[in-house]
Amino acid sequence: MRILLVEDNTELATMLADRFSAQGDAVDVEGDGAGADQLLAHSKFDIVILDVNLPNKDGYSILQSMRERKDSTPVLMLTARSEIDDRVTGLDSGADDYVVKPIEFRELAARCRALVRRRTGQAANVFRHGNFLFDRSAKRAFVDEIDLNLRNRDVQLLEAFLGNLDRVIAKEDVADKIYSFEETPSLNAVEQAVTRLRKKLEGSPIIIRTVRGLGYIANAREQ
Amino acid sequence: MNPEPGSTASYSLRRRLTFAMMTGFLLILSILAVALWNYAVAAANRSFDLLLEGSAITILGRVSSNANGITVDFPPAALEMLGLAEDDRVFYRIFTAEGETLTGEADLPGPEVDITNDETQYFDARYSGTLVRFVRQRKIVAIDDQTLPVLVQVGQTRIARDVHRNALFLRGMMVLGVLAVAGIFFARMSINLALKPLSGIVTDIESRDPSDLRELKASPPREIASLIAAINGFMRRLDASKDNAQNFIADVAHQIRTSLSALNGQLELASEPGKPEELQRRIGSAGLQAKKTIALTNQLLAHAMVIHRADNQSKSAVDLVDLVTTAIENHVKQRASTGIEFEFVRKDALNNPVILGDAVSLQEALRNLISNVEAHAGDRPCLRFTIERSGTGNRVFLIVEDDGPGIPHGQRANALDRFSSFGNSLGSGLGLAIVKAVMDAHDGTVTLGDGANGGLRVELSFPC
Repeated sequence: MRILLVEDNTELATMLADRFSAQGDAVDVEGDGAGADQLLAHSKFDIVILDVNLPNKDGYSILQSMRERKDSTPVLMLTARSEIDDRVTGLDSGADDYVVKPIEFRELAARCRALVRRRTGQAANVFRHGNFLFDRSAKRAFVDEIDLNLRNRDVQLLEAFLGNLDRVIAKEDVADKIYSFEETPSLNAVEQAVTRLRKKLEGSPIIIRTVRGLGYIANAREQ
Repeated sequence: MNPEPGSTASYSLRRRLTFAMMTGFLLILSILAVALWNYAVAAANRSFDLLLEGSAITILGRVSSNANGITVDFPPAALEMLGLAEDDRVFYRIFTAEGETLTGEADLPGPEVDITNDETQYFDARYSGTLVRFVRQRKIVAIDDQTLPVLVQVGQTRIARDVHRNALFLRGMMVLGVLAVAGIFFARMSINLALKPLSGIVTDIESRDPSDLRELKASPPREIASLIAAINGFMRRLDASKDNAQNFIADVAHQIRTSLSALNGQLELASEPGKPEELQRRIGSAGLQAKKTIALTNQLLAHAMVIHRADNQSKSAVDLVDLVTTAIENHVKQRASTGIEFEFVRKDALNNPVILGDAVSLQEALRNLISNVEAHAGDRPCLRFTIERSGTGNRVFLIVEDDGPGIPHGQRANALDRFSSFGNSLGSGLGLAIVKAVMDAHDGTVTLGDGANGGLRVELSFPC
């Protein structure tokens, strides 16, 4: 990954840069808000890690300028808990995710990977996470290179869940996504379909949880 | 009282009262002035009218009849009586009912003669360029076998009369004016006297140093006793909250110092020479200690944030179902491999219960409750959220139940206090205190109880 880390705390920035580099990622560090804005206007990154408080231009303004330039590079905000407000939690600012300081590197790295994956996955029609691979165009999914032999219904269901990772989807919404109007499925059928898919996904990092009373939530486990 | 000490007062009590007093006095004064004027006019008229009437009667007394007709033996005294008013001119006319002037000015004005009326008539009329007061009287004179009414009309200009009237009025007004001025003066005095206790309080407060939050010693009059009581109550609360803040800071300082000392100690230990596996273990426990410190710091800041937001954040409509959904999503996102099984129960199926609140603080409260379950309640804990309305419909309950070990009855009373942690290595002891602070900010309550599956049941009750 090519990462731009915008953080004015030198110790933290150096530590993060070292650890990303150790993983084989390319990291550019910028400590100045206006400088970061300049850099972003001219270079392309896979992900931007953006601190909120920066000299000369704050994180929100940088993000706003990016989105105004139609730059859709994933942005992960770093924020102190005291700065968390509706802008961040609602991700109204246009950020894709946020991590609260003090940062745990492993969590930060995992979130970065997830963001990049989500983006490239959508673009490339291939979703890859750990030992799991889903090819949208071929409608096939693999765990450790072994075909899961998904049926059409499973593929539709999997697409619905992968498109809504980390979000609760109501059972009715799942039904809407996988059945046409003529089919009028029962919610029972949805449950059975999910159970079957879950069984097929055993051994993959994709977890589909049932939240009784609300629906389902799928997420990708870090390995 | 010092009138302008940083005068943010929007009005002066004294000025208000004085103004009200003056208005009252002015009103009474004008009513009295009208009355006094009427009285002066009446009094002046009465005394001068008596003179006029006396004069007319004297003249009529000299009207008699003989064979030649009516004769008037005009008495000079009649006019001398009126001559006492030096500047006034006097007019008279003696005439018959038919209008034949016997003597005097024939052109004196006057109303139509009514011969049946034998009462003395008074009237004002213009004559010879000025307003003249007239009196007219009638006498029946017998000539031969007939009776003939003879009238006498005497007039006098009004100069002396008006002077007399004005003097009466002015003297009266002077007395009233003195009374009014005295009244306002006494009113001012009594206002000052009434406000004196307030100035004592001002001096008391102004002379205090900021940390002096003792009660005001003023012995207030009944009328402002409640004000003083309110100020004293406020001071007590301020004092309590200051103590709270000091305790909190002391607690925080203690906790952070302890945590950092432990971390420091472990790092020192790790830097000493030793076997590789021993070193690994020491670094491991230093890392754990650092994690604890981070968790503690996070919780302290969350606590501070919640309290800060309680004072400063305006509330908006929060959908409880959305709130729970987001809390679950956030937890799953941050702990991808969480073992918690979430369950959501709605006993109110009609529409989503909406409360007025601060979504960020509420989210923080739920985050703490979920983290508690993650930390305390075993491998695959079940966490059930229940939303329920009270029978009367004026409260909404959000109940969070788990199937973990719960909190022993004896410790529940203190569980909502700061830094009360029950045997958990990573717990900061702030989680439930944060929940409590959030609920306080929402005029709600937290109640701990036994969960349906044996664990802890936390009931959040919101007004709606």
